Amino acid sequence: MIASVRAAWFADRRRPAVWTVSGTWTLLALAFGIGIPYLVHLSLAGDPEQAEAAETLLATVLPGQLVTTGIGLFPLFGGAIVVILGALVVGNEYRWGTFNLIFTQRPRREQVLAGHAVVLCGLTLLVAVVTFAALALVTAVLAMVEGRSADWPPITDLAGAVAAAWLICTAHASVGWFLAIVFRSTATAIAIGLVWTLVLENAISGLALVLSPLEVLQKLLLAPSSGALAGALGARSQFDGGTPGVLESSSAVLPAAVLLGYTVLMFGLGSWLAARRDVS
Amino acid sequence: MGARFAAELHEVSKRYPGGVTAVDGLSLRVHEGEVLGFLGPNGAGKTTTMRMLVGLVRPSAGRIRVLGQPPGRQLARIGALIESPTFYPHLTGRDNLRLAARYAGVPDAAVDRVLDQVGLSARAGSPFRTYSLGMKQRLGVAAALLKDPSLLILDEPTNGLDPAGVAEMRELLRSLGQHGQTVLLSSHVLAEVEQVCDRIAVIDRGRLVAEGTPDELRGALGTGVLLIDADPIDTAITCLRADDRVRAVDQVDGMLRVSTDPALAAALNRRLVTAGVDVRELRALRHSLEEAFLELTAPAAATPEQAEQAAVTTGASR
Repeated sequence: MIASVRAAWFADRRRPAVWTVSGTWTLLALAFGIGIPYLVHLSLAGDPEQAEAAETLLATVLPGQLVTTGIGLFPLFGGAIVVILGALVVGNEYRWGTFNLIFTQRPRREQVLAGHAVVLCGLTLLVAVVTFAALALVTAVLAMVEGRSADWPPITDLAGAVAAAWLICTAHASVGWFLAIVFRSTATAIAIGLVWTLVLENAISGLALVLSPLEVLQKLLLAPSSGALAGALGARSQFDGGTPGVLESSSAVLPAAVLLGYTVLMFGLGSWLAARRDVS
Repeated sequence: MGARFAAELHEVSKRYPGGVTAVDGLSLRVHEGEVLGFLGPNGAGKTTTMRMLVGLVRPSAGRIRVLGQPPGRQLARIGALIESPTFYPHLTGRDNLRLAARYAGVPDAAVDRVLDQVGLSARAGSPFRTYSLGMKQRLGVAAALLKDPSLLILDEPTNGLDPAGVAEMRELLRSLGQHGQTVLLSSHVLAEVEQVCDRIAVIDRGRLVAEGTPDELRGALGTGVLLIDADPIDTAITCLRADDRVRAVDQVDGMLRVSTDPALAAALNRRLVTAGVDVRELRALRHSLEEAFLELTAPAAATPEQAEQAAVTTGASR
Protein backbone atom coordinates (compact mmCIF):
# COMPACT_ATOMS: atom_id res chain seq x y z
CA MET A 1 0.00 0.00 0.00
CA ILE A 2 2.80 2.40 0.95
CA ALA A 3 4.62 1.45 -2.25
CA SER A 4 1.47 2.22 -4.28
CA VAL A 5 1.09 5.63 -2.63
CA ARG A 6 4.76 6.46 -3.23
CA ALA A 7 4.52 5.35 -6.85
CA ALA A 8 1.28 7.27 -7.49
CA TRP A 9 2.81 10.40 -5.95
CA PHE A 10 5.94 9.90 -8.06
CA ALA A 11 3.77 9.91 -11.21
CA ASP A 12 1.24 12.57 -10.23
CA ARG A 13 3.67 15.15 -9.00
CA ARG A 14 5.37 15.12 -12.40
CA ARG A 15 2.14 15.62 -14.36
CA PRO A 16 2.04 19.16 -15.74
CA ALA A 17 -1.78 18.97 -15.98
CA VAL A 18 -2.10 18.46 -12.21
CA TRP A 19 -0.20 21.68 -11.45
CA THR A 20 -1.85 23.56 -14.32
CA VAL A 21 -5.31 22.81 -12.94
CA SER A 22 -4.30 23.52 -9.34
CA GLY A 23 -2.54 26.75 -10.30
CA THR A 24 -5.47 27.84 -12.46
CA TRP A 25 -7.82 27.32 -9.55
CA THR A 26 -5.63 29.36 -7.20
CA LEU A 27 -5.57 32.23 -9.68
CA LEU A 28 -9.34 32.00 -10.21
CA ALA A 29 -9.89 32.00 -6.44
CA LEU A 30 -7.80 35.15 -6.10
CA ALA A 31 -9.59 36.76 -9.04
CA PHE A 32 -13.14 35.90 -7.92
CA GLY A 33 -12.52 36.13 -4.18
CA ILE A 34 -10.32 39.23 -4.03
CA GLY A 35 -9.65 40.82 -7.40
CA ILE A 36 -13.18 41.46 -8.66
CA PRO A 37 -14.65 42.61 -5.29
CA TYR A 38 -11.66 44.92 -4.77
CA LEU A 39 -11.94 46.42 -8.26
CA VAL A 40 -15.66 47.00 -7.72
CA HIS A 41 -14.80 48.58 -4.35
CA LEU A 42 -12.34 50.91 -6.04
CA SER A 43 -14.92 51.94 -8.63
CA LEU A 44 -17.51 52.66 -5.91
CA ALA A 45 -15.15 54.29 -3.42
CA GLY A 46 -15.32 57.73 -5.04
CA ASP A 47 -19.11 57.86 -4.91
CA PRO A 48 -20.45 59.05 -1.50
CA GLU A 49 -23.80 57.37 -2.19
CA GLN A 50 -22.04 54.02 -2.59
CA ALA A 51 -19.74 54.40 0.40
CA GLU A 52 -21.49 51.73 2.44
CA ALA A 53 -21.41 49.19 -0.39
CA ALA A 54 -17.78 50.04 -1.07
CA GLU A 55 -16.90 49.50 2.60
CA THR A 56 -18.76 46.17 2.65
CA LEU A 57 -16.86 45.01 -0.39
CA LEU A 58 -13.54 46.08 1.09
CA ALA A 59 -14.29 44.13 4.26
CA THR A 60 -14.67 40.92 2.23
CA VAL A 61 -11.13 41.21 0.90
CA LEU A 62 -9.46 41.91 4.24
CA PRO A 63 -8.10 39.26 6.65
CA GLY A 64 -11.10 39.52 8.99
CA GLN A 65 -13.37 37.77 6.46
CA LEU A 66 -10.79 35.29 5.19
CA VAL A 67 -12.84 32.30 6.34
CA THR A 68 -16.16 33.32 4.80
CA THR A 69 -14.64 34.72 1.63
CA GLY A 70 -12.42 31.68 1.17
CA ILE A 71 -14.91 28.89 1.84
CA GLY A 72 -17.56 30.62 -0.27
CA LEU A 73 -15.42 30.12 -3.36
CA PHE A 74 -15.33 26.33 -3.19
CA PRO A 75 -18.91 25.07 -3.66
CA LEU A 76 -19.38 26.16 -7.25
CA PHE A 77 -16.06 27.26 -8.73
CA GLY A 78 -13.63 25.13 -6.76
CA GLY A 79 -15.80 22.03 -6.99
CA ALA A 80 -15.98 22.18 -10.76
CA ILE A 81 -12.22 22.61 -11.10
CA VAL A 82 -11.37 19.67 -8.87
CA VAL A 83 -13.78 17.43 -10.79
CA ILE A 84 -11.30 18.00 -13.62
CA LEU A 85 -8.37 17.22 -11.31
CA GLY A 86 -9.94 13.92 -10.22
CA ALA A 87 -10.66 12.92 -13.81
CA LEU A 88 -7.12 13.78 -14.91
CA VAL A 89 -5.38 11.75 -12.25
CA VAL A 90 -6.95 8.43 -13.19
CA GLY A 91 -8.36 9.10 -16.67
CA ASN A 92 -4.93 9.58 -18.18
CA GLU A 93 -3.97 6.10 -17.03
CA TYR A 94 -6.58 4.81 -19.46
CA ARG A 95 -5.65 7.35 -22.13
CA TRP A 96 -1.97 6.43 -22.06
CA GLY A 97 -2.63 2.75 -21.37
CA THR A 98 -0.38 2.93 -18.32
CA PHE A 99 -2.70 0.71 -16.29
CA ASN A 100 -1.30 -2.09 -18.47
CA LEU A 101 2.12 -1.30 -17.00
CA ILE A 102 0.99 -0.73 -13.43
CA PHE A 103 -1.44 -3.63 -13.15
CA THR A 104 1.27 -6.08 -14.24
CA GLN A 105 3.62 -5.03 -11.46
CA ARG A 106 3.43 -6.38 -7.96
CA PRO A 107 0.47 -4.80 -6.10
CA ARG A 108 -3.15 -5.81 -6.46
CA ARG A 109 -5.36 -3.48 -8.44
CA GLU A 110 -7.21 -2.38 -5.30
CA GLN A 111 -3.90 -1.29 -3.78
CA VAL A 112 -2.94 0.64 -6.91
CA LEU A 113 -6.26 2.47 -6.92
CA ALA A 114 -6.09 3.12 -3.17
CA GLY A 115 -2.66 4.67 -3.76
CA HIS A 116 -4.13 6.93 -6.44
CA ALA A 117 -7.03 7.88 -4.15
CA VAL A 118 -4.71 8.74 -1.26
CA VAL A 119 -2.57 10.92 -3.52
CA LEU A 120 -5.67 12.64 -4.91
CA CYS A 121 -6.80 13.38 -1.34
CA GLY A 122 -3.35 14.83 -0.70
CA LEU A 123 -3.63 17.01 -3.78
CA THR A 124 -7.04 18.33 -2.75
CA LEU A 125 -5.65 19.13 0.71
CA LEU A 126 -2.83 20.98 -0.99
CA VAL A 127 -5.34 22.87 -3.14
CA ALA A 128 -7.33 23.90 -0.06
CA VAL A 129 -4.26 24.95 1.93
CA VAL A 130 -2.62 26.82 -0.95
CA THR A 131 -5.88 28.61 -1.76
CA PHE A 132 -6.30 29.87 1.80
CA ALA A 133 -2.59 30.72 2.05
CA ALA A 134 -2.76 32.76 -1.17
CA LEU A 135 -5.94 34.50 -0.02
CA ALA A 136 -4.35 35.24 3.37
CA LEU A 137 -1.28 36.71 1.73
CA VAL A 138 -3.25 38.96 -0.62
CA THR A 139 -5.70 40.09 2.05
CA ALA A 140 -2.77 40.99 4.30
CA VAL A 141 -1.20 43.04 1.51
CA LEU A 142 -4.53 44.80 0.87
CA ALA A 143 -4.90 45.56 4.57
CA MET A 144 -1.50 47.25 4.46
CA VAL A 145 -2.32 49.10 1.24
CA GLU A 146 -5.64 50.29 2.61
CA GLY A 147 -4.14 51.15 6.01
CA ARG A 148 -6.54 48.80 7.83
CA SER A 149 -5.72 46.56 10.74
CA ALA A 150 -5.35 42.85 9.98
CA ASP A 151 -7.96 41.26 12.23
CA TRP A 152 -7.21 37.63 11.54
CA PRO A 153 -9.94 35.08 12.27
CA PRO A 154 -9.35 32.56 15.08
CA ILE A 155 -7.05 29.77 14.00
CA THR A 156 -9.74 27.18 14.80
CA ASP A 157 -12.14 28.89 12.40
CA LEU A 158 -9.46 28.98 9.75
CA ALA A 159 -8.59 25.30 10.29
CA GLY A 160 -12.30 24.44 10.08
CA ALA A 161 -12.62 26.33 6.80
CA VAL A 162 -9.58 24.58 5.33
CA ALA A 163 -10.98 21.21 6.43
CA ALA A 164 -14.36 22.05 4.91
CA ALA A 165 -12.71 23.18 1.67
CA TRP A 166 -10.71 19.96 1.64
CA LEU A 167 -13.88 17.91 2.06
CA ILE A 168 -15.68 19.81 -0.70
CA CYS A 169 -12.70 19.39 -3.04
CA THR A 170 -12.21 15.71 -2.22
CA ALA A 171 -15.88 14.87 -2.76
CA HIS A 172 -15.86 16.62 -6.15
CA ALA A 173 -12.51 15.09 -7.12
CA SER A 174 -13.82 11.63 -6.22
CA VAL A 175 -16.70 12.15 -8.66
CA GLY A 176 -14.28 13.03 -11.47
CA TRP A 177 -12.14 10.03 -10.47
CA PHE A 178 -15.15 7.68 -10.55
CA LEU A 179 -16.41 8.98 -13.88
CA ALA A 180 -12.96 8.58 -15.45
CA ILE A 181 -12.98 4.93 -14.43
CA VAL A 182 -16.55 4.37 -15.63
CA PHE A 183 -15.85 5.90 -19.05
CA ARG A 184 -12.17 4.88 -19.21
CA SER A 185 -11.55 8.41 -20.42
CA THR A 186 -10.50 11.83 -19.19
CA ALA A 187 -12.45 14.01 -21.61
CA THR A 188 -15.78 12.22 -21.21
CA ALA A 189 -15.41 12.20 -17.43
CA ILE A 190 -14.73 15.94 -17.36
CA ALA A 191 -17.66 16.69 -19.65
CA ILE A 192 -20.11 14.53 -17.70
CA GLY A 193 -18.73 15.74 -14.36
CA LEU A 194 -19.16 19.39 -15.25
CA VAL A 195 -22.65 18.85 -16.63
CA TRP A 196 -23.52 16.95 -13.46
CA THR A 197 -22.19 19.50 -10.97
CA LEU A 198 -22.84 22.74 -12.83
CA VAL A 199 -26.00 22.00 -14.78
CA LEU A 200 -27.95 19.02 -13.45
CA GLU A 201 -27.53 19.71 -9.75
CA ASN A 202 -28.21 23.43 -10.17
CA ALA A 203 -31.32 22.63 -12.17
CA ILE A 204 -32.60 20.36 -9.41
CA SER A 205 -31.75 23.02 -6.81
CA GLY A 206 -33.67 25.59 -8.84
CA LEU A 207 -36.67 23.32 -9.18
CA ALA A 208 -36.55 22.59 -5.43
CA LEU A 209 -37.42 26.25 -4.83
CA VAL A 210 -40.83 25.65 -6.39
CA LEU A 211 -41.25 21.90 -5.94
CA SER A 212 -40.84 21.21 -2.25
CA PRO A 213 -40.57 17.39 -2.60
CA LEU A 214 -37.24 17.97 -4.35
CA GLU A 215 -35.81 19.61 -1.23
CA VAL A 216 -34.99 16.20 0.23
CA LEU A 217 -33.17 15.21 -2.96
CA GLN A 218 -31.36 18.55 -2.98
CA LYS A 219 -29.89 17.85 0.44
CA LEU A 220 -28.27 14.73 -0.99
CA LEU A 221 -26.67 16.44 -3.96
CA LEU A 222 -23.00 17.29 -4.16
CA ALA A 223 -23.06 20.99 -5.05
CA PRO A 224 -25.92 21.98 -2.71
CA SER A 225 -24.25 20.08 0.15
CA SER A 226 -21.03 21.94 -0.56
CA GLY A 227 -22.94 25.21 -0.60
CA ALA A 228 -24.69 24.34 2.65
CA LEU A 229 -21.38 23.48 4.33
CA ALA A 230 -19.94 26.83 3.26
CA GLY A 231 -23.11 28.55 4.46
CA ALA A 232 -22.86 26.84 7.83
CA LEU A 233 -19.36 28.30 8.21
CA GLY A 234 -20.67 31.82 7.67
CA ALA A 235 -20.35 32.38 3.94
CA ARG A 236 -23.18 34.54 2.60
CA SER A 237 -25.57 32.80 0.22
CA GLN A 238 -26.06 34.00 -3.30
CA PHE A 239 -29.55 35.18 -2.31
CA ASP A 240 -27.91 37.39 0.31
CA GLY A 241 -25.43 39.03 -2.04
CA GLY A 242 -22.82 36.34 -1.46
CA THR A 243 -21.04 33.91 -3.72
CA PRO A 244 -23.02 31.77 -6.21
CA GLY A 245 -23.36 28.20 -4.98
CA VAL A 246 -23.44 29.06 -1.27
CA LEU A 247 -26.68 28.11 0.54
CA GLU A 248 -27.96 29.15 3.94
CA SER A 249 -27.51 26.41 6.48
CA SER A 250 -27.61 26.26 10.25
CA SER A 251 -25.63 23.05 10.63
CA ALA A 252 -22.54 21.62 8.98
CA VAL A 253 -23.25 18.06 10.09
CA LEU A 254 -25.60 16.88 7.33
CA PRO A 255 -23.74 18.51 4.41
CA ALA A 256 -20.41 17.24 5.76
CA ALA A 257 -21.86 13.74 6.13
CA VAL A 258 -23.22 13.83 2.57
CA LEU A 259 -19.87 14.98 1.19
CA LEU A 260 -18.05 12.30 3.16
CA GLY A 261 -20.55 9.78 1.81
CA TYR A 262 -19.82 10.86 -1.76
CA THR A 263 -16.10 10.53 -1.15
CA VAL A 264 -16.33 7.02 0.28
CA LEU A 265 -18.88 5.87 -2.30
CA MET A 266 -17.10 7.25 -5.36
CA PHE A 267 -13.65 5.99 -4.36
CA GLY A 268 -15.10 2.65 -3.31
CA LEU A 269 -17.21 2.09 -6.43
CA GLY A 270 -14.44 3.31 -8.72
CA SER A 271 -11.90 0.96 -7.18
CA TRP A 272 -14.33 -1.95 -7.26
CA LEU A 273 -15.10 -1.36 -10.91
CA ALA A 274 -11.49 -0.87 -12.03
CA ALA A 275 -10.38 -3.94 -10.13
CA ARG A 276 -12.98 -6.21 -11.68
CA ARG A 277 -13.17 -5.00 -15.24
CA ASP A 278 -10.90 -6.05 -18.07
CA VAL A 279 -8.22 -3.51 -18.89
CA SER A 280 -8.71 -2.79 -22.55
CA MET B 1 -1.72 -28.77 -11.93
CA GLY B 2 1.91 -29.15 -10.98
CA ALA B 3 4.69 -26.61 -10.85
CA ARG B 4 6.42 -28.13 -13.90
CA PHE B 5 4.56 -25.67 -16.02
CA ALA B 6 5.24 -21.97 -15.81
CA ALA B 7 1.83 -21.41 -17.35
CA GLU B 8 -1.03 -23.70 -18.10
CA LEU B 9 -4.26 -22.96 -19.93
CA HIS B 10 -7.07 -25.49 -20.02
CA GLU B 11 -10.00 -25.02 -22.40
CA VAL B 12 -9.74 -21.26 -22.05
CA SER B 13 -12.11 -19.03 -23.96
CA LYS B 14 -12.54 -15.30 -24.09
CA ARG B 15 -15.69 -13.83 -25.56
CA TYR B 16 -16.10 -10.07 -25.65
CA PRO B 17 -19.44 -8.31 -25.44
CA GLY B 18 -20.84 -8.12 -28.95
CA GLY B 19 -20.10 -11.74 -29.69
CA VAL B 20 -16.43 -11.56 -30.69
CA THR B 21 -14.62 -14.71 -29.60
CA ALA B 22 -10.92 -13.92 -29.29
CA VAL B 23 -9.86 -17.21 -27.72
CA ASP B 24 -11.82 -20.39 -28.22
CA GLY B 25 -11.14 -23.39 -25.99
CA LEU B 26 -7.38 -22.93 -25.94
CA SER B 27 -5.27 -25.46 -24.05
CA LEU B 28 -1.56 -24.76 -23.80
CA ARG B 29 1.32 -25.49 -21.47
CA VAL B 30 4.46 -23.45 -21.10
CA HIS B 31 7.17 -25.63 -19.58
CA GLU B 32 9.44 -24.16 -16.94
CA GLY B 33 12.75 -22.97 -18.39
CA GLU B 34 11.73 -23.10 -22.03
CA VAL B 35 11.46 -20.36 -24.61
CA LEU B 36 8.10 -20.93 -26.25
CA GLY B 37 7.32 -19.17 -29.49
CA PHE B 38 3.69 -18.15 -29.76
CA LEU B 39 2.66 -17.76 -33.37
CA GLY B 40 -0.53 -16.92 -35.13
CA PRO B 41 -1.90 -14.53 -37.73
CA ASN B 42 -3.24 -11.12 -36.74
CA GLY B 43 -6.37 -11.53 -34.65
CA ALA B 44 -5.57 -15.15 -33.79
CA GLY B 45 -5.89 -14.46 -30.05
CA LYS B 46 -2.21 -14.27 -29.04
CA THR B 47 -2.39 -10.91 -27.30
CA THR B 48 -5.67 -11.74 -25.56
CA THR B 49 -4.10 -14.96 -24.30
CA MET B 50 -1.10 -13.08 -22.97
CA ARG B 51 -3.34 -10.48 -21.36
CA MET B 52 -5.25 -13.27 -19.63
CA LEU B 53 -1.98 -14.76 -18.32
CA VAL B 54 -1.13 -11.54 -16.48
CA GLY B 55 -4.70 -10.92 -15.32
CA LEU B 56 -5.42 -7.83 -17.42
CA VAL B 57 -8.30 -9.70 -19.03
CA ARG B 58 -10.39 -12.39 -17.39
CA PRO B 59 -11.30 -15.56 -19.29
CA SER B 60 -14.95 -16.22 -20.07
CA ALA B 61 -14.38 -19.93 -19.55
CA GLY B 62 -11.62 -22.37 -18.73
CA ARG B 63 -8.85 -22.50 -16.20
CA ILE B 64 -5.51 -20.71 -16.12
CA ARG B 65 -2.57 -21.25 -13.80
CA VAL B 66 0.53 -19.09 -13.91
CA LEU B 67 3.45 -20.23 -11.76
CA GLY B 68 0.98 -22.48 -9.99
CA GLN B 69 -1.49 -19.73 -9.14
CA PRO B 70 -4.47 -18.06 -10.79
CA PRO B 71 -3.50 -15.10 -13.00
CA GLY B 72 -2.54 -11.94 -11.11
CA ARG B 73 -1.33 -13.73 -7.98
CA GLN B 74 2.32 -14.12 -8.97
CA LEU B 75 2.93 -10.78 -10.64
CA ALA B 76 6.12 -10.26 -8.61
CA ARG B 77 7.66 -13.14 -10.60
CA ILE B 78 6.29 -12.21 -14.02
CA GLY B 79 7.60 -9.63 -16.46
CA ALA B 80 5.42 -8.67 -19.39
CA LEU B 81 5.44 -6.54 -22.48
CA ILE B 82 2.05 -6.90 -24.08
CA GLU B 83 1.01 -5.08 -27.23
CA SER B 84 2.66 -1.68 -27.53
CA PRO B 85 4.76 -0.37 -24.64
CA THR B 86 2.68 1.94 -22.45
CA PHE B 87 4.45 4.57 -20.38
CA TYR B 88 3.92 8.10 -19.09
CA PRO B 89 4.79 10.38 -22.03
CA HIS B 90 6.06 13.25 -19.88
CA LEU B 91 8.41 11.09 -17.80
CA THR B 92 11.87 10.09 -18.95
CA GLY B 93 12.61 6.47 -19.73
CA ARG B 94 14.53 6.16 -16.46
CA ASP B 95 11.72 7.75 -14.42
CA ASN B 96 9.16 5.46 -16.05
CA LEU B 97 11.23 2.49 -14.97
CA ARG B 98 11.73 3.96 -11.48
CA LEU B 99 7.95 4.27 -11.25
CA ALA B 100 7.46 0.66 -12.32
CA ALA B 101 10.18 -0.37 -9.85
CA ARG B 102 8.32 1.36 -7.02
CA TYR B 103 5.12 -0.47 -7.85
CA ALA B 104 7.05 -3.71 -8.14
CA GLY B 105 8.95 -3.19 -4.90
CA VAL B 106 12.27 -3.42 -6.77
CA PRO B 107 15.25 -1.26 -5.74
CA ASP B 108 16.14 1.62 -8.05
CA ALA B 109 19.49 -0.04 -8.77
CA ALA B 110 17.66 -2.52 -11.00
CA VAL B 111 16.68 0.33 -13.32
CA ASP B 112 20.22 0.97 -14.54
CA ARG B 113 20.83 -2.77 -14.91
CA VAL B 114 17.88 -3.28 -17.26
CA LEU B 115 18.57 -0.04 -19.17
CA ASP B 116 22.03 -1.41 -19.85
CA GLN B 117 20.62 -4.82 -20.82
CA VAL B 118 18.42 -3.33 -23.53
CA GLY B 119 20.98 -0.75 -24.67
CA LEU B 120 18.97 2.32 -23.70
CA SER B 121 21.22 3.91 -21.07
CA ALA B 122 22.29 6.77 -23.34
CA ARG B 123 18.73 7.98 -23.93
CA ALA B 124 17.30 7.08 -20.53
CA GLY B 125 17.12 10.75 -19.55
CA SER B 126 14.89 11.75 -22.48
CA PRO B 127 11.10 11.97 -22.14
CA PHE B 128 9.28 8.87 -23.36
CA ARG B 129 7.27 10.92 -25.86
CA THR B 130 10.48 11.68 -27.78
CA TYR B 131 11.36 8.01 -28.24
CA SER B 132 11.30 6.22 -31.57
CA LEU B 133 9.23 3.05 -31.88
CA GLY B 134 12.32 0.93 -31.41
CA MET B 135 13.36 2.81 -28.27
CA LYS B 136 9.85 2.48 -26.84
CA GLN B 137 10.08 -1.23 -27.51
CA ARG B 138 13.42 -1.46 -25.73
CA LEU B 139 11.99 0.40 -22.74
CA GLY B 140 9.05 -2.00 -22.69
CA VAL B 141 11.41 -4.97 -22.59
CA ALA B 142 13.45 -3.24 -19.87
CA ALA B 143 10.31 -2.84 -17.76
CA ALA B 144 9.52 -6.51 -18.26
CA LEU B 145 13.02 -7.47 -17.07
CA LEU B 146 12.92 -5.20 -14.04
CA LYS B 147 11.74 -7.86 -11.60
CA ASP B 148 14.25 -10.45 -12.86
CA PRO B 149 11.16 -12.54 -13.55
CA SER B 150 10.77 -16.29 -13.57
CA LEU B 151 8.32 -15.95 -16.45
CA LEU B 152 8.77 -13.38 -19.18
CA ILE B 153 5.87 -12.69 -21.52
CA LEU B 154 6.86 -10.71 -24.58
CA ASP B 155 4.44 -9.71 -27.31
CA GLU B 156 6.26 -8.70 -30.49
CA PRO B 157 9.38 -7.44 -28.67
CA THR B 158 11.27 -6.74 -31.90
CA ASN B 159 8.50 -4.63 -33.39
CA GLY B 160 10.09 -1.43 -34.72
CA LEU B 161 13.67 -2.46 -33.99
CA ASP B 162 16.35 -2.01 -36.63
CA PRO B 163 18.30 -5.10 -37.77
CA ALA B 164 21.00 -4.51 -35.16
CA GLY B 165 18.31 -4.15 -32.51
CA VAL B 166 16.66 -7.37 -33.64
CA ALA B 167 19.99 -9.18 -33.35
CA GLU B 168 20.58 -7.72 -29.87
CA MET B 169 17.11 -8.76 -28.78
CA ARG B 170 17.69 -12.25 -30.12
CA GLU B 171 20.91 -12.51 -28.10
CA LEU B 172 19.13 -11.22 -25.02
CA LEU B 173 16.35 -13.78 -25.37
CA ARG B 174 18.88 -16.55 -25.93
CA SER B 175 20.78 -15.59 -22.81
CA LEU B 176 17.58 -15.47 -20.78
CA GLY B 177 16.70 -18.94 -22.00
CA GLN B 178 20.17 -20.18 -21.16
CA HIS B 179 19.79 -18.83 -17.64
CA GLY B 180 16.68 -20.91 -17.13
CA GLN B 181 14.10 -18.15 -17.40
CA THR B 182 10.84 -19.16 -19.00
CA VAL B 183 9.93 -16.99 -21.95
CA LEU B 184 6.66 -16.85 -23.85
CA LEU B 185 7.46 -14.99 -27.04
CA SER B 186 5.02 -13.81 -29.64
CA SER B 187 6.52 -12.63 -32.89
CA HIS B 188 5.83 -12.37 -36.58
CA VAL B 189 9.53 -12.68 -37.38
CA LEU B 190 9.62 -16.43 -37.92
CA ALA B 191 13.38 -16.58 -38.43
CA GLU B 192 13.79 -15.02 -34.98
CA VAL B 193 11.38 -17.51 -33.43
CA GLU B 194 13.13 -20.38 -35.15
CA GLN B 195 16.53 -19.32 -33.83
CA VAL B 196 15.48 -18.53 -30.28
CA CYS B 197 12.63 -20.82 -29.30
CA ASP B 198 12.81 -24.33 -27.88
CA ARG B 199 9.21 -24.99 -28.88
CA ILE B 200 6.52 -23.26 -30.88
CA ALA B 201 2.76 -23.10 -30.43
CA VAL B 202 0.63 -21.92 -33.33
CA ILE B 203 -2.86 -20.60 -32.77
CA ASP B 204 -5.47 -19.53 -35.26
CA ARG B 205 -8.92 -18.11 -34.57
CA GLY B 206 -8.33 -18.58 -30.87
CA ARG B 207 -7.51 -22.28 -31.09
CA LEU B 208 -4.25 -24.18 -30.89
CA VAL B 209 -3.49 -25.66 -34.29
CA ALA B 210 0.05 -26.94 -33.77
CA GLU B 211 2.65 -27.31 -31.06
CA GLY B 212 6.16 -28.71 -31.07
CA THR B 213 9.81 -27.99 -31.68
CA PRO B 214 10.67 -26.02 -34.81
CA ASP B 215 11.92 -29.26 -36.40
CA GLU B 216 8.72 -31.09 -35.50
CA LEU B 217 6.62 -28.32 -36.97
CA ARG B 218 8.60 -28.19 -40.17
CA GLY B 219 8.68 -31.96 -40.54
CA ALA B 220 5.26 -32.98 -39.33
CA LEU B 221 3.48 -31.27 -42.12
CA GLY B 222 4.96 -33.31 -44.94
CA THR B 223 5.28 -31.70 -48.31
CA GLY B 224 4.59 -34.98 -50.14
CA VAL B 225 7.77 -34.49 -52.13
CA LEU B 226 10.98 -36.55 -52.20
CA LEU B 227 14.19 -35.08 -53.60
CA ILE B 228 16.39 -37.65 -55.33
CA ASP B 229 19.86 -37.28 -56.86
CA ALA B 230 20.17 -40.27 -59.17
CA ASP B 231 22.35 -41.45 -62.04
CA PRO B 232 21.50 -42.12 -64.81
CA ILE B 233 18.71 -39.67 -64.40
CA ASP B 234 16.66 -40.75 -67.47
CA THR B 235 16.49 -44.34 -66.23
CA ALA B 236 15.46 -43.07 -62.81
CA ILE B 237 12.64 -40.98 -64.30
CA THR B 238 11.34 -43.91 -66.36
CA CYS B 239 11.52 -46.22 -63.36
CA LEU B 240 9.70 -43.82 -61.04
CA ARG B 241 6.98 -42.89 -63.53
CA ALA B 242 6.23 -46.58 -63.91
CA ASP B 243 5.32 -46.77 -60.21
CA ASP B 244 1.57 -46.28 -59.53
CA ARG B 245 2.31 -44.72 -56.13
CA VAL B 246 4.22 -41.83 -57.69
CA ARG B 247 2.02 -38.91 -58.73
CA ALA B 248 4.59 -36.85 -60.64
CA VAL B 249 8.30 -36.68 -61.37
CA ASP B 250 10.01 -33.40 -62.29
CA GLN B 251 13.63 -32.56 -62.92
CA VAL B 252 14.81 -29.42 -61.15
CA ASP B 253 18.46 -28.32 -61.00
CA GLY B 254 19.70 -31.85 -61.70
CA MET B 255 17.54 -33.32 -58.90
CA LEU B 256 14.31 -35.23 -59.21
CA ARG B 257 11.26 -33.88 -57.35
CA VAL B 258 9.04 -36.87 -56.81
CA SER B 259 5.49 -36.27 -55.65
CA THR B 260 4.55 -39.21 -53.47
CA ASP B 261 4.11 -40.32 -49.89
CA PRO B 262 7.48 -39.67 -48.18
CA ALA B 263 6.99 -42.93 -46.27
CA LEU B 264 7.72 -44.72 -49.57
CA ALA B 265 11.29 -43.40 -49.65
CA ALA B 266 12.90 -46.74 -48.80
CA ALA B 267 10.73 -48.68 -51.25
CA LEU B 268 11.48 -46.29 -54.08
CA ASN B 269 15.18 -46.42 -53.24
CA ARG B 270 15.15 -50.23 -53.56
CA ARG B 271 13.27 -50.03 -56.86
CA LEU B 272 15.82 -47.58 -58.30
CA VAL B 273 18.81 -49.62 -57.14
CA THR B 274 17.23 -52.77 -58.58
CA ALA B 275 16.86 -50.92 -61.89
CA GLY B 276 20.59 -50.17 -61.87
CA VAL B 277 20.32 -46.55 -60.79
CA ASP B 278 22.88 -45.09 -58.39
CA VAL B 279 21.04 -43.11 -55.69
CA ARG B 280 23.42 -40.48 -54.37
CA GLU B 281 20.88 -38.66 -52.23
CA LEU B 282 17.26 -39.20 -51.23
CA ARG B 283 15.43 -37.02 -48.76
CA ALA B 284 12.01 -35.66 -48.02
CA LEU B 285 11.48 -32.03 -48.96
CA ARG B 286 10.72 -30.19 -45.72
CA HIS B 287 8.71 -27.07 -45.16
CA SER B 288 10.39 -23.94 -43.97
CA LEU B 289 8.84 -22.69 -40.74
CA GLU B 290 7.16 -19.97 -42.73
CA GLU B 291 5.60 -22.51 -45.09
CA ALA B 292 4.47 -24.60 -42.14
CA PHE B 293 2.99 -21.53 -40.47
CA LEU B 294 1.14 -20.48 -43.61
CA GLU B 295 -0.19 -23.97 -44.15
CA LEU B 296 -1.33 -24.33 -40.55
CA THR B 297 -3.10 -20.99 -40.54
CA ALA B 298 -4.42 -20.99 -44.09
CA PRO B 299 -8.16 -20.23 -44.26
CA ALA B 300 -8.87 -23.62 -45.82
CA ALA B 301 -7.24 -25.37 -42.89
CA ALA B 302 -9.14 -23.42 -40.34
CA THR B 303 -12.39 -25.31 -40.16
CA PRO B 304 -12.71 -27.00 -36.78
CA GLU B 305 -12.23 -30.46 -38.28
CA GLN B 306 -9.11 -29.46 -40.20
CA ALA B 307 -7.67 -27.54 -37.32
CA GLU B 308 -8.24 -30.58 -35.14
CA GLN B 309 -6.53 -32.75 -37.74
CA ALA B 310 -3.52 -30.43 -37.86
CA ALA B 311 -3.35 -30.35 -34.08
CA VAL B 312 -3.36 -34.14 -33.90
CA THR B 313 -0.79 -34.38 -36.68
CA THR B 314 1.62 -32.08 -34.92
CA GLY B 315 0.97 -33.21 -31.39
CA ALA B 316 -0.97 -30.14 -30.31
CA SER B 317 -3.45 -32.28 -28.46
CA ARG B 318 -0.87 -33.54 -26.01
